[in-house]
Amino acid sequence: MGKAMVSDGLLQSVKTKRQAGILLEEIEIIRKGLFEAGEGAMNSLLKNKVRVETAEIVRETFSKVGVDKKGYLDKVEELIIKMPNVSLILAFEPSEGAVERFYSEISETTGKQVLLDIVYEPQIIGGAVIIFNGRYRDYSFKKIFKLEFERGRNKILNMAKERQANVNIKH
Amino acid sequence: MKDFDYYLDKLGEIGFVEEVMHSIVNVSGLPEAHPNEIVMFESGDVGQIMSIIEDKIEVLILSRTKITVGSKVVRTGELLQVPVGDEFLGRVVDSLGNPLDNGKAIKGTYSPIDTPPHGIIGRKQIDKPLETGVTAVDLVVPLAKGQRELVIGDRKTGKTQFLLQTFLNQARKGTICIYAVIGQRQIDIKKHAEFIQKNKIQANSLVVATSSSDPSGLIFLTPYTAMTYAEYFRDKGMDVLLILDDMTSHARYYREISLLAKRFPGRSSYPGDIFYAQARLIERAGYFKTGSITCLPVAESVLGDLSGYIQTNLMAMTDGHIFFDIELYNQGKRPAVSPYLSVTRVGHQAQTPLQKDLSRQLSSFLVRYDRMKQFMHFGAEAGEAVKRVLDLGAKVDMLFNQVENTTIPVNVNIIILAGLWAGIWNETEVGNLKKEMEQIILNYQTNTGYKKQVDSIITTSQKFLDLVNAIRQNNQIISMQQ
Repeated sequence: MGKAMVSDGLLQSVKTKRQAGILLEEIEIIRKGLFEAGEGAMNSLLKNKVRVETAEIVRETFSKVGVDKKGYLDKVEELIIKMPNVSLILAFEPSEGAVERFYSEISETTGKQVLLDIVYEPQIIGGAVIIFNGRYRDYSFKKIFKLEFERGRNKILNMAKERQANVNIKH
Repeated sequence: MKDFDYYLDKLGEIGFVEEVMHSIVNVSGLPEAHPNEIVMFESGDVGQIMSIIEDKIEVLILSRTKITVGSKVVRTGELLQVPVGDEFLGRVVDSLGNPLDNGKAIKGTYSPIDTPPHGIIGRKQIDKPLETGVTAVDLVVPLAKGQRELVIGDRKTGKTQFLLQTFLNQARKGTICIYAVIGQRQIDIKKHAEFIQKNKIQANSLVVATSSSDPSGLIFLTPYTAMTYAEYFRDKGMDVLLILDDMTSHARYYREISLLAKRFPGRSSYPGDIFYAQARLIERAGYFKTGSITCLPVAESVLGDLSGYIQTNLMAMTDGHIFFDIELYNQGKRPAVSPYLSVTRVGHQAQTPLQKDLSRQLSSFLVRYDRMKQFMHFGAEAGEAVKRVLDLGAKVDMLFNQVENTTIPVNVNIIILAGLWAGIWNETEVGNLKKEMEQIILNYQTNTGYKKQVDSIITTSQKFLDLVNAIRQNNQIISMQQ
């Protein structure tokens, strides 16, 4: 079963590592359901144990004639596991809209379908740190401030002293 | 070395520990990593890249703390280096150059520990003797500076004792002495450090040690680090004595690492490149235009079997071997050096004509003596000639029997042996003979005039027979002791 067959379905719904984890759990549930007896078993499983969007895609795929159901699920699972991860360390917790925007931007840049691994780390103050394929790029404010402080250490110290002196005079 | 963040910023690459298998971890990421490069974990621990496979990197851990799955890893862009310098003399360090003797940290210039052996152009013909201070070795299996001589024998046969005697004798003569303790007990490391302090030879000795509780990677690197220190002093024009105790343990640790890394096992489960790994190291020793590195690798045999895999490998890499025989040890001989199974390939070329002649005659006599002893086992009645050989042999055995931690200058050995050959002590009782020999040794070491006299008579004799005749004609040099 080729990638083309599954690419329009389940894979498109996965954008983050968290979503990938949920989908893999659902695939496991559906795979077990394939071997359960009774005509309504699968329908009941898709209705009660997996998300609606996943259920719809799976139902549609399984309705096609001659489809290898287990092979399809195995292939989706394999492709998800093989998807490259992009770690995005942010100083805030992004909204769904923001995640969508990050995803489309990153997918376009890399030219690949990737999984976003979003990490919330307020210590970086602002900006972002991106890790992809072992490359580490730090565009955080923390690094910028650190460099600024290292570069202008004496200047900043003098400014602080002057300000302190002014405050003392006023008092 | 700098810290984790420095390398992360500098090289912009990161990896994550995916799997931990004792002293080896598998790491993902680090796209530009190259073999043998040093990597740093976020905890500050270091490791060395062993191999790069399609989607993972195998890293050998070189620190004592435990690494956990998920830890971040960065490249350093550096190969493994240790600090070297004169400040290391008198110290005990591990295979990364960190002090183990509770002394302050040592800083020095950094030198890579895995370098290719020196080419032929920088080497010289071996021509200077190396005195061990051990009579049996100096007379029968002499060593030379730059020689690589394997010291082989079963456990508890006095190998370390011999090595320490040689270490002490050479350190007193100004040679830089380096002792590599490879994965032994902590107590052994302590004993070596105490030995150096007790004998006040800190000025030109160094111990590189790892204990059996250290990570395999660290133990594996011990002889390479010791050799790096040896090369540092050699490049300063000094003569170095390097003891690698022991290389069979080293091979075992390398086997452990290779099997963990799922390398295909070869003979006795050792990896296919075990010969290469050890030969490349031992080949770094030798006699050079700048200085010399005399290397004494140690191998442990089992039940006196010299034909083990690692043992024969080491024999093939060295210029001979000194065999410590468990049977001789059990007979009470100290040191238990077997004169029949020991070999020196280049030691004789550094000897004077007199020493060469003496060595040849002594070896041939010892074979004859051994045959006679075996013959006497049948209860045969001994003739006069046989009795003479047995009598002289017993006296030679007495000369070879040496007290622990004592060293005897080679010239005094020669003069005593010549005295035995000349029949000076034919009528002396065995009990008194040892005392008289000890008196001569003491006199040689303390009386400058006597020492000069002995040295002079040895220098003027070209052949052993000349010396024996000279003593026969003028036996005062020996009888003046009595």
